[in-house]
Amino acid sequence: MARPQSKCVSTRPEAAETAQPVAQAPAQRILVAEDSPVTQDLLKLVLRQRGHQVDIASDGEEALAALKRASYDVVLMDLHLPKMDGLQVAAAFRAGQGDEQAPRFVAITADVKGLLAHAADCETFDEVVPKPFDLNDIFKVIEGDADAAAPSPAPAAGPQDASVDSVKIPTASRNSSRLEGLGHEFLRWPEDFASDRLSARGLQASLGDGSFDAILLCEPATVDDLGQIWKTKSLHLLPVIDLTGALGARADLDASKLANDDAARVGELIAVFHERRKRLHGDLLYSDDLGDKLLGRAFVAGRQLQPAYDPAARSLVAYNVLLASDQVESEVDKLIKSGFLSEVFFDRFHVCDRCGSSRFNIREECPQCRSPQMTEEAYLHHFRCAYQGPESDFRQGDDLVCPKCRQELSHFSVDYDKPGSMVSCGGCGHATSEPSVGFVCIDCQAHSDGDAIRVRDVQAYSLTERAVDYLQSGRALLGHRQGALRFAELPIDLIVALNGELKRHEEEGTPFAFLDISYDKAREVEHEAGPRQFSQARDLVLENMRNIVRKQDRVVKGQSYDFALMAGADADEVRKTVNDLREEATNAVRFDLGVTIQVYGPEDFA
Amino acid sequence: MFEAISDGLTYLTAQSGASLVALFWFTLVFELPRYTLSFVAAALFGAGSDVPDAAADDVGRVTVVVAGHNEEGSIARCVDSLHEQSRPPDEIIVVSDGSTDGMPAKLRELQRDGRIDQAHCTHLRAGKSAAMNLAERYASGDVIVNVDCDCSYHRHALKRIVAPLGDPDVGAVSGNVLVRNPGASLTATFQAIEYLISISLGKQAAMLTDQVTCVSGAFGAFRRTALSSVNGVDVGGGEDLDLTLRLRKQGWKIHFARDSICYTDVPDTLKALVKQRFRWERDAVRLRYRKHLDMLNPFAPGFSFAELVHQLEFVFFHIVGAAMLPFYVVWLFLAYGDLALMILLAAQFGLLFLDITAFLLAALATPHANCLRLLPYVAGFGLFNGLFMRFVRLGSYVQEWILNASAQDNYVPEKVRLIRRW
Repeated sequence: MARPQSKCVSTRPEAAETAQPVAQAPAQRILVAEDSPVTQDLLKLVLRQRGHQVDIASDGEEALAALKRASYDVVLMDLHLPKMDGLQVAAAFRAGQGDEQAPRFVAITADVKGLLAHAADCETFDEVVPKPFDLNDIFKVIEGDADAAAPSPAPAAGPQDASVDSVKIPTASRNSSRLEGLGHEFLRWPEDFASDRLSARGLQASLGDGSFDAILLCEPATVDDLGQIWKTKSLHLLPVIDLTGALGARADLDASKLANDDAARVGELIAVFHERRKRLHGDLLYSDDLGDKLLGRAFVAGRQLQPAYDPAARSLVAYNVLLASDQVESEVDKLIKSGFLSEVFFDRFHVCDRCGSSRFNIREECPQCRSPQMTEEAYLHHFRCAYQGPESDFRQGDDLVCPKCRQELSHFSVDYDKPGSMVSCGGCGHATSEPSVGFVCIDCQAHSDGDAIRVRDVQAYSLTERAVDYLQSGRALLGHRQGALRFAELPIDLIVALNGELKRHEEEGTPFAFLDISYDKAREVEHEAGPRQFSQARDLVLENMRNIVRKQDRVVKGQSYDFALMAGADADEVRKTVNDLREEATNAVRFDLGVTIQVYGPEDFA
Repeated sequence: MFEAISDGLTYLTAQSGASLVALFWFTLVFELPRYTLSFVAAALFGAGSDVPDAAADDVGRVTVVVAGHNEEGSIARCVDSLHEQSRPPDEIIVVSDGSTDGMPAKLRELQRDGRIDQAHCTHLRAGKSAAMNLAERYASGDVIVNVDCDCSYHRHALKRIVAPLGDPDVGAVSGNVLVRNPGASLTATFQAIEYLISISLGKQAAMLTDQVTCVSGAFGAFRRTALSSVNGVDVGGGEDLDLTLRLRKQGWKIHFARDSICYTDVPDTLKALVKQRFRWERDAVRLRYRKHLDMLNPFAPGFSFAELVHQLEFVFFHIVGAAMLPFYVVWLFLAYGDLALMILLAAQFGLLFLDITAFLLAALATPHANCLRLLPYVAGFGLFNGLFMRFVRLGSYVQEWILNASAQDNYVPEKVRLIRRW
């Protein structure tokens, strides 16, 4: 039986970058097996909008029938279906299927853990999308390039390892024992990260399963070894407890130095992370963007991105995250520009021009031949005859005898003094009072002159107020992105209504206008006047809107944005009057909320 | 007033030759011979005294030594001008003598850029002599040229100052030092004329008779073997005069390169000038008649007639000339009353013609010196040089003789002055 390599789970890749509603992916034939009409409508709407052909099956039998009837590229399968559950449908189809190309089976389930519990089930599905789902994940799974971003977790990690029933912690390595009795749920290095693939437990944690408390490093590992943690969603938001001491400042807790009775600190650390993770907006919790991850990490850890000296790193610096310092530094520029991070100077390092390393042997050298074999010698000045030269010119055993006038020097500061010192080179004999400073790169042996060498300033970064707002409010804070309508933002009943209007437009040609109301100054008003005042002002705007529009129009409050659906109204007409509408709606409002109204017509949903 | 002048003229024109000599004996004795000599020198020398530039190729390796104290502002320009020479130095060694400004940092920069070969920086000032000795200790050249930070040098100056060393008897060559700031003040203008006539033309005259006694500290070239033969520079001040005298004692010929021109800034206030000249004259007296008194002693080992001549010349024209001046003036007034003034004026008037002639000859004999604009000031030069500077000299001799004043001169650090023998 020819089967594509089975991929058990998709770890929701690339949410931010793929938010554009109309992607240029090849059209696919999709079967949606889903019993909820709302979800049916939603998926049909958004997938058609992206150019795919969508069929709906409301129960398992219907789904199986559809599968036998036609050939699909992708099957989105709710696991809990009436009559036959998703697993059965998939298994039945696979059993009856010949050698022809099978569709990709994507499981949609709220119970990822349950699904992963059985190795056989893992084999059945190509991808898993957890419920409630992010539409972007669905797009990603359907339209491909999931491979690029998501790790390909495979049962190779071992179904036996993935036995979720075993809530008790598996045997850990030697020194983790004293953390075992504390009742925490740990992800372990290397067990859960074997051969660069996450175990089922790791996947579970990456899906935001709150039952995991921390990552436990049981064996020494480098940042490179632990790359999985930051490549995968959510894992970077877990505290890292280092039992080996190998991670140094990168870990949140160096348990190798932890006294037995310090176990409480582990609990505190975990509690802080849990508490702060709860405050993080979902956009950031599951973001794939490294910038978002860094912000989220700093927020959840409750600490700034703090560099520390690390002799093992070529940059000599390690931040308190499991990333190489250059990864952090390449990302922070843009975060500083966006006003999310502020920097505080930490230290200045020298950088090798050839290899970029900061590890140097720094030495005094002969300015002439660059040899470090310099010896220091005092100048000696004989007052009476004005001879001045190196002390060795005067040395005769224990005595100092002037080489010019042969007089013996007996009194310092009466006969002679030492007005300074010089260094002479053992290599070429050159003498100077100012040796040069030279840098030899430990990593590539390149030599640089002290005054020509490049320097690099290393900073600590802390979250700005704006970043904290962003982390708690999600992308809504950043405002609309190029007028892109995000279905994920829409309340579900509005999607259903919108779908109805689209149907009417298709069948009867009735126009409609869909308004997206955003508040660009929401944060400012919240800061100045308090969230309650903002909320009241926003309600007032909506109330005004309701009074202005016709009775049959719906004005709906969303999470960050509000919406209005005006059935039968021509979008172009509405666009002409939208400024008046906004004026009128915000007329009696005390605050300037920065109200922006975007108008979409049926053609925007085609 | 007019009456006095006409009376004076009537009186003077009525005198016979012998009585004129009786009136103007001072001028005839102390001024005329020197001018006469200068005329002869200028007439005989000229282009004939110059060593061909090509000789500079045969003198071997040339090390330029710059010793300075707190010369942060001028050292870079000085080094740049050395690299601009038609015959650039083979090696440049700079000594920062206990500088407290940014000079050491500047030297580091120059050394890093390869503009200088060695830099020595001490923290305690040792004096110019010790600084030069230190540099010479490390110099690798066959010829060592001392330059001053705050002087500027003609493009061919280095080539021409080393060229005379092609003659193996020549131990040292003095450059021709002229005034860079003649327009700064009247004091500076008179010094410009003085440098041109007394120093430049004077040294040319001295060359004629092998009597050059001072290789200028601002610009001099030394044969390394000559320097070693006298064990380098001795304690200052006046170390340039001292070194030259000691080289002469060793039998080295001293050359004056009139076409190797260096410009220096002279003091532009009378006060500063007086201070400077007090130091020079004091050092001259101290060195000539204390340290090198043996040159006057015919029975001393190594006695030479040539040395006796310049020692006596200095005594006669500098010391006696200065000492006699007040007697002459007093005598004139006592003997002739109101006419004395007229006689002095007449002497100056007569000297004016000599001065102008000397100046023109000096201007002619000093290549590249653009000095004709100084001509109008030559009229006052007689008073400046003949009267004012003589009194300055007199003052400094008296001070040195009676108070041993050079022991207080801060040109040399105190620690050295306390122990200096001479």
